Amino acid sequence: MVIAFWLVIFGLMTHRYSNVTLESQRRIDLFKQQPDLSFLRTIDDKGEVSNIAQLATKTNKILITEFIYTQCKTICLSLGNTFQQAQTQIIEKNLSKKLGLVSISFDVSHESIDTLKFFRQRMHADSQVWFLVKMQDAKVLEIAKKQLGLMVIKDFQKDFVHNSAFIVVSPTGHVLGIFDPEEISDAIAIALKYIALEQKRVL
Amino acid sequence: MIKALFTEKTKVMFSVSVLIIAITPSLPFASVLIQSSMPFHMLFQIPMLILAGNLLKNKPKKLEYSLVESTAQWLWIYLSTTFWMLPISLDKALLYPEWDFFKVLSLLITGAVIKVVFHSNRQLALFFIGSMAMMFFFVGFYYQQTDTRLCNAYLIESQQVTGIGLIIIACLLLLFLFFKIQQSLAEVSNP
Repeated sequence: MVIAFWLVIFGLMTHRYSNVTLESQRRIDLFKQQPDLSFLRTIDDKGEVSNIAQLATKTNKILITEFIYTQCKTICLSLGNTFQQAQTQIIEKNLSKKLGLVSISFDVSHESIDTLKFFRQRMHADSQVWFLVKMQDAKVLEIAKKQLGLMVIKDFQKDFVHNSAFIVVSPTGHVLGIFDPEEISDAIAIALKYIALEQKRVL
Repeated sequence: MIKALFTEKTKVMFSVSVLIIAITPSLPFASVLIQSSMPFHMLFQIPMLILAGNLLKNKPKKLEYSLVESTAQWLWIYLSTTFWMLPISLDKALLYPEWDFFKVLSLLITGAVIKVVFHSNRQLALFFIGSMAMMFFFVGFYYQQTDTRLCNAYLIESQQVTGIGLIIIACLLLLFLFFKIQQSLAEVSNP
């Protein structure tokens, strides 16, 4: 009876024994649902209000997105470095018309247009390739937590503990895939595959 | 008699204090404690809940349990500790109050079961303690060595410290195991 009880509990916790981490569950859920990201309302570093789906449609690009806050001294910096390398790759391979990068800040209370601008300078972000936006308000952050499994927790030093992953968004504004911070090449690969498929369809 | 009452009262007060300390981090106003530190969650709150359960349980009425009963008791301890070592369990306990409530309840029961489990088959106890020591060691080693952040809620540094803590618990369990084996051997040689 004890075994039966715990088997049920383990099954409930791990979604029928398929995930031992919340991150893997989040990825499987996102991959299955491919949600439309129009709920992610944002303000960019020029003060323009939009949303991620709209940005993808407007630019007609596949977007690789990451969640950061510009005052972060740890993981966001390494994500930023990865994006810098990806930006170089996109420019070198002449993909800037098809592929874009978006850093989305979840620090709704402290992030401003100025801090985003400063982050752009610091990261040498090309405005044609790398978009910098912040979530519009706390409501958007709450929706992102629920819909995307984004985890943002304030710690004692008023920094944030948060999860990190690259979410690839199609030009129609839907999620195509979700990748680990060290899997940027896989994120770019899935984007290129999508572009190749689209080109085939046009021909 | 006064002395006995005093010690009984002190014991109850101590048990209740441990229970309050163990449950407080799960309350909304103090949840930042477990939300910001994986070692605090895994190496402090969880053992404190087990200790609270153990202290609150009265001395067992039975002195000997059947093999089936003691196997069930050991399985509860083994499975509940395994369950609360899964990264997804820790994350969901932070996200969902119902899972956090289950954590508190299941670990209090685990503590209570530990109180009665040693009144059972000694070989069974040695087997389960040995298995748990190995499990703690391997999970701790993995938490400490992997570059992957296993819990969404915690930083990798926090995870590595937890890993070291679990390895220390594994070593303590092994020491306890050797002590129990030596005790058994002494009893066999001096019946």
